[in-house]
Parts: sequence; C-alpha cells; structure tokens
Amino acid sequence: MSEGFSQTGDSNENATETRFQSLLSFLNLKNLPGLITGSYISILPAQTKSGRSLTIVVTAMCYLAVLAVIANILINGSVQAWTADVAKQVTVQIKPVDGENMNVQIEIATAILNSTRGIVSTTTLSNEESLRLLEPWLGEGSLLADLPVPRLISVVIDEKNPPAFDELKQRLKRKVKGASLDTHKRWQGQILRSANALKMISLGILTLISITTIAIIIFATRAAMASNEEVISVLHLVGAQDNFIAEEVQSRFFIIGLKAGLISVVCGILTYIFLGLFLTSYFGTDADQTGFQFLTGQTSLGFMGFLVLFTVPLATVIICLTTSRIVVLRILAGVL
Amino acid sequence: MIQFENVGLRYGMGPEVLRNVSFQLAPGSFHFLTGSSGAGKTSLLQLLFLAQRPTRGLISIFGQDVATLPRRELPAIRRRIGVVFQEFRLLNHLTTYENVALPLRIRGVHTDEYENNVIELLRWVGLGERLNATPEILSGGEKQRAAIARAVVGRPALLLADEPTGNVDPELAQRLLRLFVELNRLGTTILIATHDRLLMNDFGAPRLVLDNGELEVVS
Ligand SMILES: Nc1ncnc2c1ncn2[C@@H]1O[C@H](COP(=O)(O)OP(=O)(O)OP(=O)(O)O)[C@@H](O)[C@H]1O
Ligand SMILES: [Mg+2]
Repeated sequence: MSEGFSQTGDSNENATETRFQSLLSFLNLKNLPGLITGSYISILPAQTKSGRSLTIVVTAMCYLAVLAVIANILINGSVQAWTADVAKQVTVQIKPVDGENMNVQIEIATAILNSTRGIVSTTTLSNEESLRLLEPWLGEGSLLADLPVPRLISVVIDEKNPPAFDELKQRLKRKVKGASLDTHKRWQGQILRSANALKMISLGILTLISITTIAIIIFATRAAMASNEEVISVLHLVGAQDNFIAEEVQSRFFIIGLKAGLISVVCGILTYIFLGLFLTSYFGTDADQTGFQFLTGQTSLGFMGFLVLFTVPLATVIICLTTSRIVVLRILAGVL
Repeated sequence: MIQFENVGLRYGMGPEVLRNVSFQLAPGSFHFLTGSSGAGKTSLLQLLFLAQRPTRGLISIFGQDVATLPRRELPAIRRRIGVVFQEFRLLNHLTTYENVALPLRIRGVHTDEYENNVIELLRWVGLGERLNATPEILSGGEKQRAAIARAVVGRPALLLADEPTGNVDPELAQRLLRLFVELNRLGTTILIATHDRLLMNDFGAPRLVLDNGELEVVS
C-alpha cells in the first residue's frame, strides 16, 4: 500500500469565487478549450446516435432562426433605403383643369416653389415622362397621347430645414387650380407599417424557435439523465457534487449547440447568396423590381449583418447550457 | 464516529427491515457485519453511505446528525466514505483505471497528481495488466478488486465493504483482507459485511450480527 496518496482536499471549493467566475462556471465555460479541442473526455458514456439526431433537430431550428434574422436585417435595410430617398422629395401634381393652360400653371407653381424657403430644386416631368408613369395602368399606345394627363413636379427639399408644408399647400391651391402637394407621408407610413408587421412576424418566429429549442433541450436532458441513471447514481455515491454532474451533461449540450449554431450560420449565408443569385438571374437587377430589391444585392446584409448572424450560435449555446443545467439540477434535487 | 440509536428502516409500506438497531463505531475500529442472506446487511450499509434515510431513530456520522444534513453537504461526507458495493457498480464505459480514479477525478484532482498512485494501487490488487480493460470483460474476482481499489483510492476515513471477498478464492481473500487491515492501521475505520466465517475467524474483529432485522454486537 502506497503512502503516496495525496490528501485530496477540497481547498479550492472553499475559495471564494468572483461573480464573473461563477457566471462562467454557471455556463460551464471553464472546460471550453478542452471541449473544443476534444481533449476533454466526459465521464458520461458517449451517445453518438441520439446526439446526432439531436444535433440535426437543433441545427434545423438554428437554420430557421438564421433565416428569420436575415429577413429582419434586410427589411430594416430596405426600409431605411426607401424612406431616406423619399424623405428628400415631395411631388406637386397638377391636374388638367378646363380653361387653364397647363404650361402656365406649371410655371406659376414652379415660381411659388422656387421662392419657398427650404426647397433645393424642382424638376418638371415632361408630358412624355408623365405618360410613361401611367403606362403600367393604362397600357402603351398613342391612345393616351391626346388625353389630358396630370403633370408632376418633383421637388427636392432641404431635409434639415424643410419648408412649412401646410402653408405651401395652401398657397399652391390658391394660385394654381388643380394643384396638390404630396409629401409621400402616407406612402411612407404604409411602408413602415408593413415593414414593422414583417419584423414583428420574424421576431415572433424567432421567439417560437427559441421556445421550441428550449423544449427540445429539456426533453433531451431528461432522456440523457434517465439513460445514465446508474452512472449518475454512482457518481453521487462516490461524492460528486450536483454541479459536477451538471457540467458533465452541459458540456454535451454545449458541443451540440455550438455545432448546430455554426452549421446553420453557414447554411443561412449560402441560402442568402444562392437565393440572391437566383433572383438576380430571374428578375434582373432592374431597380423597378423594388419588391426584390433587397434580395438582388441592392440592399445587402453587409459586414455588420454577417456579424449579427453569429448571435444565433451564441444564443443557441446559451440556451443549451442554461436549459440543460436547470433541468439537471432540478432532477438531482429530487434524489438523495 | 458512527452512532446508531434505535434505528428503523422500512421500504415503502413493507415490514421493518431493520428494527431498533443501536451501535457505535469508534474511530479506527474494525468490525464485521454478518447475518443470513436478507438479514439487512446491505440496507444497513446504505444507511451509512447516505443512500437511504432511516424511517426512525437517530444516525450520526462524523458527529453530524444525518436527519438534519442539508443535501449540499452530502458530497463532502460521502468523500470521506469508501464503499465496495455488493454488485460492484463499476461504470462499464470506463476502463478499470478510469473507474478506480473516479473518486479523485470528481474531486477535481488533476490527472498528473493521481495517475501513479492509481496504477500502483491497481498493481497491488493484481490488476496491473488490466488497466485498460473495461469492467464488462473482467472476471467477477477482477471486478471485485477494481471495486475495492475504487473504494480505497481516496483514503477514506470510513470504509464500508459489502461482501468484498464473495467472488475470490480464499488466498486472494486473505490478500484483500490484508489491504483492509493495512488501511485500518493507517487510521481508517472499517466495516465489512460478509458471511465468510473463515475470514472472520482469521481476523478476530468484533462482529455486528443481524438477525431478523435486529442487531447484536459480539466481540
Ligand atoms: N429497494 C428495496 N425495496 C424493497 N425491499 C428491499 C429493498 N432492498 C432490500 N429489500 C429487502 O430488505 C431485506 C434486506 O435486504 P438486504 O439486501 O439488506 O439483505 P442482505 O443482508 O444484504 O442480504 P444478502 O446477504 O443476500 O446480500 C430483504 O428482505 C429485501 O428483500
Ligand atoms: Mg446484501
């Protein structure tokens, strides 16, 4: 019998932990290097089969989450791009009125506009240009050529120092029959409302995905505990603390969450790229196809967007670690 | 060090398996626990390593009343108790070496600190050649020795062994008994449950005899 058995004290257990360290150990990140390099060998038996199917399910969840995040970023980007353009412009529309000369009307309106403070420039759309805008509704052809068509004056305003729209509106109405001022407010409001609705939907989807993932991890943790009942019981009887057992289980879910999260980010980015390429080749990069603008590269994810995607693996790992830990500690609290 | 006072234990709604059990184990003492099969030896040991709580009576271990012990203090006490389970309870997915090192590993001891000690201990119990074998391919006697090695590797203050020589020949039984005696000399309190009369006669330690759930101390 050797005298050499070192007295294996619990000295470091008593060491006071800082809050940060206890957070790290709560998330079981102290085995992190060993976990990632694979040098950390778990005491629990490897469960390759159930581990693999769990990884697939969690990866699918993460992939959906990545898609939702991408959609959210693109919606945000598009709204910003659209509203920024629109905010700089207002439009004056002059409807043809019997007995008034359109060109004179336009001149008066332009004069009023140019004398108003806060207006940078005005551009009158020619009759042909105005007609072309109506083509999608009325069709091509000379049929329209003789019809009196409303004319448009595009007005660029000084965003920082905008004109008093109400006053301008009144003045135009008084001086020019058939003139109206469109500040695009309503249109902007509609865009924002639809965009917000889409964002709420994608946030709702993200919430559902998170809840589902938590439920999956709860089930998987319970299953892991049940299938390792004997091992855990022996660990207990040789003096393992709940914490130790929890960390063993957590490290398994950490790996699964990390794998799933990273794979799904890669898949999500590939999806984004291929969908973009497909839509570009299908619809072209025509700016008029505003509906697809954000997918055809005119609004791109951008570097920040790509970084934001990595919140998905991060969130997944945190969900895996905390959920499995809470479940394990709950189960262990019920055994002697 | 260990004190039982009028301890009773019943499983569920069944009859009392242990009745009015009272005894003491002084620090550094050596006792056998004997009695016919089904007399309640394993049940008594389970009370001692905190796998069961008594249905009545008072148990104090290392001076602490078991009934009032909070859950989180159990591991610290269990680490001072080495147990050889009747059915060994080795972990099949770990090697013999890893099984024996388990009590040290769960304490957070670094591999470098225990590797040589564990190997030396395994050689001593005759498993030097079986370090990397999993329990599934060990013989009954080999498993028994691995279980004993795991129980003693943490230098426990109290060693509880449930039929530790049930699967080995008399010669090896002697050798294992010497291990327990040696541990006892180093200060470990020892309680061995056995029916092996030969073993008990060889080493004239006091006996706790269980009969029909009641305990009698024979010195
Ligand atoms: N978990 C249990 N649930 C219900 N009854 C049990 C349980 N464990 C043991 N018993 C009963 O308690 C009694 C004592 O069993 P125990 O295992 O303590 O005996 P033992 O002295 O160790 O026997 P052996 O020498 O055969 O190992 C037996 O009648 C047994 O059926
Ligand atoms: Mg028994």
